[in-house]
Amino acid sequence: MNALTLWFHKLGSPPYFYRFAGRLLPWLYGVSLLVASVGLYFGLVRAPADYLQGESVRILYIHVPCAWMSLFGYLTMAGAGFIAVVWRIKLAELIAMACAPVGAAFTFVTLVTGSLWGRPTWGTYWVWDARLTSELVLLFLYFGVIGLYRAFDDPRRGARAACLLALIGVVNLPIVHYSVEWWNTLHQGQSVRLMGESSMHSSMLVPLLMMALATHVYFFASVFARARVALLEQEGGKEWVRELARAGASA
Amino acid sequence: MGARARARGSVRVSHTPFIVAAYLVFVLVFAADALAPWLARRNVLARLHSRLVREQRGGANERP
Amino acid sequence: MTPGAPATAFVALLRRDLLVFWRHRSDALNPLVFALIVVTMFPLALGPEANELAPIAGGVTWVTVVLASLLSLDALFRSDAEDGSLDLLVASGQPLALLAAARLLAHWLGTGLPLVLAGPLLAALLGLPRDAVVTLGFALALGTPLLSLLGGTCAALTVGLRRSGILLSLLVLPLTLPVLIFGSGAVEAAVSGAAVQAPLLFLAAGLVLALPLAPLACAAAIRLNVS
Repeated sequence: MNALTLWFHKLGSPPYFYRFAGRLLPWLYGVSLLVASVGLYFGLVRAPADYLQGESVRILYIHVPCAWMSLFGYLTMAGAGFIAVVWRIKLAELIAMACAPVGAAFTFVTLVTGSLWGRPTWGTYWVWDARLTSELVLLFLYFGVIGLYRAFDDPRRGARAACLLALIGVVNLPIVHYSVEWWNTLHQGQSVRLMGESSMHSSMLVPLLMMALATHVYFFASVFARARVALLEQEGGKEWVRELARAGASA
Repeated sequence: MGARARARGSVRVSHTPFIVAAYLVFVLVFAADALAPWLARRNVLARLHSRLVREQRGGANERP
Repeated sequence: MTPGAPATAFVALLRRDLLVFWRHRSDALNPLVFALIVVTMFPLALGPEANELAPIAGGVTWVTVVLASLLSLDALFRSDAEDGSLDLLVASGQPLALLAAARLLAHWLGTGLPLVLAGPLLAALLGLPRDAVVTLGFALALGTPLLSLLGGTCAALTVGLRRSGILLSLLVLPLTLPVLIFGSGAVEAAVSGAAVQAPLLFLAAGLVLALPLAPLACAAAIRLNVS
C-alpha cells in the first residue's frame, strides 16, 4: 500500500481527520480571504464599468462565482453522498451533509445578488428567466436534502437517506436546468441575460477568476469546519473526544 | 445626459445602493456561515466538558 | 407461474396492492375529488370569464394533477412498514427493485390512471380547446407514471419518519418540475398550433430513463429504512 493510499485510509479515521482539518482550516480561511480581497480590489477599483450596464456589472464578481459554487457544492455533495451510500463511510456522510448548508448559502446569495443586479438593469427585482428559475429550484433541492437529514432521529441513517436524495437530485439537475431553459425560450420572455454574449475583457476576467478561486477555497474551509463539529457531536462518547473535552472547552 | 435620458423615456437609477446591498449580503451571509460552525464547536466541547466533570463527580459519590 | 420466480413475486405483489386498493376504493377517489375541488377554485378565485380561464386551463390542470398525485404517496409504504411487511419484502430474496416497481405501478394504476382519464375533463371544464384536450391526455399518460415513479421513491425515503407528509411534498415537488414544464408545454403548443412532438418526446424520454432507475433508487431507499 503506497503512501497516498495509506494517507487516504487514515483520513477516514475521525480523530485523524479532526486534527488534519483543524490544522488546514486557518490556511483555507486565510487564503480565501486574501484572494477575495485582491480579487475584489481588482474588480471594484481597477476594472472598468460596463459600457451598457454601468457600475452594476460589478455585482458580477460575486454573483457568478456564487452561482458556480452553488452547482459545485451540489455536485460535491452528490459525490460524497455516493461514497456514503455505497461504502457507508461515516466521514463521507458527514462531508456530504456539511456541503448542504454551504451550497444552499451560495445558492441564496446567487439569487439575492441576481435580483439586486436585475433591478437597475431590467427594472424589476425578479424575472422568471431560465438561470434564476433554475437556481431557485436548486435551492429547493438543497432544502430537501437538509430537511430530510434533520427529520431522522438516527443521524447516520438520516445522512444516508439525504445522500440518496442528493443522488436522485443530481440526476435530475441537468434535466431541470434544460427543461427550464426550454420553458424560457418557449415563452419568448427574457432574452436578455444578466451577462451579455460579449467575451470578457481580461481586466474583468482576472478578478472574476480570483473570486472563483476564493469561493472554492472558502467552500472547503466551511465544509471541513462543519464536518469537524458533526464529528464531535456524533463521536461524543469516544475516548479521543473525551480527551479533547478534558483539555478544555476551546481546544 | 439626464435631459437626454428623460427625453428618451428612461431615467438611470443610481446603481450604487444595489451594488452596496449585494456586497453586503455576500459578506453577511458568509460571515454567518463561517461563524456558525466555530460557535457550534465551542458549544459542543463546552457541553462535553461539563458532562465529563459531572460524571467524575458522580463517580466519586458512588464509591462506597 | 413458477413459484419463487421474480415474475411471480412481481405479479403477486401487484395483485395484492390492487386488491387492497380496491377494498379501499373510496379512499382512492380522494385524489380525484381533490383535483375537482382545486380546479373549481380557479374560476371562483379568478372569475368565470371563459376567455380568462381558457388560456390557463392547461397549466392549472397540470398543477392540480401534480398536487393530487402527492396525496396518496405518504401512505404508499407506511402501512407495510408498520406491520413488518416491508421487512418481509426485503428479506424475501426477490429483487427488491422489482417489488418496488410493482408497488409504484400499483400507485399509478390507482392514482395516476384515474387522473389521466379525469384530467382532460377538468381541463375541458376550464375551457381548453378540443385538440389541446387530446394532447393533454397524451401528456398525462406519459407524465403521471413519472410522477408515481419519482413520488414513490421519495415516499420510500421518508417511510420511517413520523409526520412526514409535508416534508414528502417538499421533496417530491422540485423533482416533478420538469414533468410539469414539458407536460403543460405540450398543451400550450397544442393551443398555439406549434409542434407538440418535442415536449411529448421529452416526457417519453424521461419516462424511459426513470423506468429502470426509479425502482432501483426506491429499493435502495427501502433497504436504508428497513435495515
